[in-house]
Amino acid sequence: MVPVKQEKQLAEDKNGEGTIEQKSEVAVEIQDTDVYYGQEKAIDGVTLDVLRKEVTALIGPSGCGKSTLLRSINRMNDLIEGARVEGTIKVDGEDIYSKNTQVSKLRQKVGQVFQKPNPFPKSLYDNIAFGPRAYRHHLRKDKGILNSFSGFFQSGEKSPIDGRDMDDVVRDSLEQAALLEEVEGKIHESAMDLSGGQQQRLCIARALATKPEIILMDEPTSSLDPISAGKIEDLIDELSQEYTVLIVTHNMQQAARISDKTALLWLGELIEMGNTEGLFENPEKELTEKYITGRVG
Amino acid sequence: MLSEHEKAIKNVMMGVWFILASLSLAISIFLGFNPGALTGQFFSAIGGAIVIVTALNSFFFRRIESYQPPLRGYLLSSLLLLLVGIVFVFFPDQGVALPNLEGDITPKLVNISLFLIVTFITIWEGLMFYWENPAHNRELAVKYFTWLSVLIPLGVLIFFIVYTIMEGSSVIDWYFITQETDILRGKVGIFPAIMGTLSLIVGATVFAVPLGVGAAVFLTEYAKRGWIKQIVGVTADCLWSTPSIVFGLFGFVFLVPRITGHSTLLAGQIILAAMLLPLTIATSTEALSSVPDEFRNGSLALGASRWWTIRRVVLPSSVPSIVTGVLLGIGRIAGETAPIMLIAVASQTSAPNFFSLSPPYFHISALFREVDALPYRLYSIYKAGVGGSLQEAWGTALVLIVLVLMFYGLGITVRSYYRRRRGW
Repeated sequence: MVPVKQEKQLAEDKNGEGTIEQKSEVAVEIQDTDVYYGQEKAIDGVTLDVLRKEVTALIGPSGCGKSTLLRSINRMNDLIEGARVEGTIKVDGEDIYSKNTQVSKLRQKVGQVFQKPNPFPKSLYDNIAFGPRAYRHHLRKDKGILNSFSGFFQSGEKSPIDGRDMDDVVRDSLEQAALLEEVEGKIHESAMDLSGGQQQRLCIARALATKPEIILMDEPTSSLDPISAGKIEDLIDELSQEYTVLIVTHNMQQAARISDKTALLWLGELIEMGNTEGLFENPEKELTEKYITGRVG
Repeated sequence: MLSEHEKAIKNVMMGVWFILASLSLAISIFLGFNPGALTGQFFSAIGGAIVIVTALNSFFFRRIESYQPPLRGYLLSSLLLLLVGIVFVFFPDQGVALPNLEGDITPKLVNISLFLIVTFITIWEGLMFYWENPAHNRELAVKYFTWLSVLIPLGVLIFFIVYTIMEGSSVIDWYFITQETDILRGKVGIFPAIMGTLSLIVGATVFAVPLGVGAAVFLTEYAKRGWIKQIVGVTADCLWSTPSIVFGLFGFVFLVPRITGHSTLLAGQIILAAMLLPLTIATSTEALSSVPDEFRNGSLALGASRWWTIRRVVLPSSVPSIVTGVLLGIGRIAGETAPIMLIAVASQTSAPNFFSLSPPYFHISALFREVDALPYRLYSIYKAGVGGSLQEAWGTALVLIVLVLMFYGLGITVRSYYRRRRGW
């Protein structure tokens, strides 16, 4: 946590000056955040920063609040009845729990990949185009009703996010998710026919199609066989070139392999966070050492 | 192994069975075979089905492995069932008239009583067999028994359809289904009734489906509290089990005076929609809640709004089930006579005339006229003697069945189209 402070300072200075040429190094800033489910406190005063274009792993035993913390970053916790977030979570320096936040835009910027692959029962193409199309739909009211007929007159569909041809968006997303070669020629077939690992990569491609900055992954490999899981890990490595990845995992080897930073959560509290190598080799806290060596957990 | 108690029961039942068996055998020998006593094709066809089923029954139980003591009992009772079934079906007027004071124990009564008694004995023997055997054989017994449970209803259904076709097809020709009855030329046509029934169904569906699906969307996607769902669920169940004549009465008292004061198509459509609504709500709610939450979360996490999620993910995934539910409902309301009798129909009217080739092309006034309907036409031919022969009634029934089957066919097409794209 300590090394990022200066950068955060830097970011605040930049915001103060109103220059946004170079974005802050901090992608997600969580400050003293509590999350409640009804009366139960699931997250207790967590403060941590997620750096841009890094892979940050959240580890900890079951029920320690890893997924809860993840879900509060794209406000998926709103869907759970009785869930309440106290504290400040900033994405790109903007408080996402302020009244002005547009949840749709937040979730377009912060994509999520779930534990169980959940492609829609549609074609691969429609799965990937889903996010951009939804985005266009939500913008439509600003653009007037005529726009809704544009599909009838245009030969190709344009992505509303970057104006590119939708076909290109689909192919690029598939390529980024290392799936294009395997599904070449099957883009218009049902996504339900893919294998589990392919479905999970499709879900990643689907999240990439909305041009997110941050990708949240909630145990993305836990329902997959080792080979598919390995492919996903390679993919995460690739993605960290361009995206900020926050991954929840049960698998400490996985965390050690793929992440730059690792945070250990215990009973809703942040025990330790630091560079992955450092944390695994020289943990500062006794509990961390016990957990990573398997003597507790 | 049987317990002592079970053995005792079995012994008693065997005794009863032997008495009945000898009695029935005596009767069937006594009856002899008299082809002149054939009274109806209806019963002979049912009898045929029973004979086949009985034969299959014994066949299956024979095939069960290590089939031991009950073979004798079960096969004999099956044979008896066969005999009594033949008597019951082919010789309904033959048999012993037992002497009694009132003189009301007729051969028919004896026959049907014997038939029922022997049926139960056969079932009992089957159960005995089940109890006496080890798990493996029980498994087989259950398998064959359930197989029979499929076969019997299927046979009855096919019999109904085949019989209706046999009776009704003679009156059906192009004129019958596309023209009105022409008294002068003595030709019968049920075109007005077909169009009337179609208009009623289409109108009711148009009213009921958006409301029903809307209610289901609210209940599954927006309603947070359980008690709202429960209230709506109980209300829908109550509406669904309300006798249809009550709907008719309601329409007659409240709806008719407020529309035109006489029977109208619109009143019929509204009342049938009210009957269709509860089933639509129930099946749509079921369909929507069976869509996994992963789809909703996946969509919402991509930045889609709730409504977009419902429209693009939840509803398309549940279309097959909703369509199935609505079609079941349509199958029911298409054949309803009671509710529309008071409020919408009159026989010998012309077909509802919504469209014309000359201005104004569309006639909303057709909604405010009476219509004829197939079930009502059927009822009037049978009960009130309106129109011609019973053959006409069978023809009308056949058209009604085909109409409903066409709706089912449409539904199956839609369902399979969407189901191919579903697959979870």
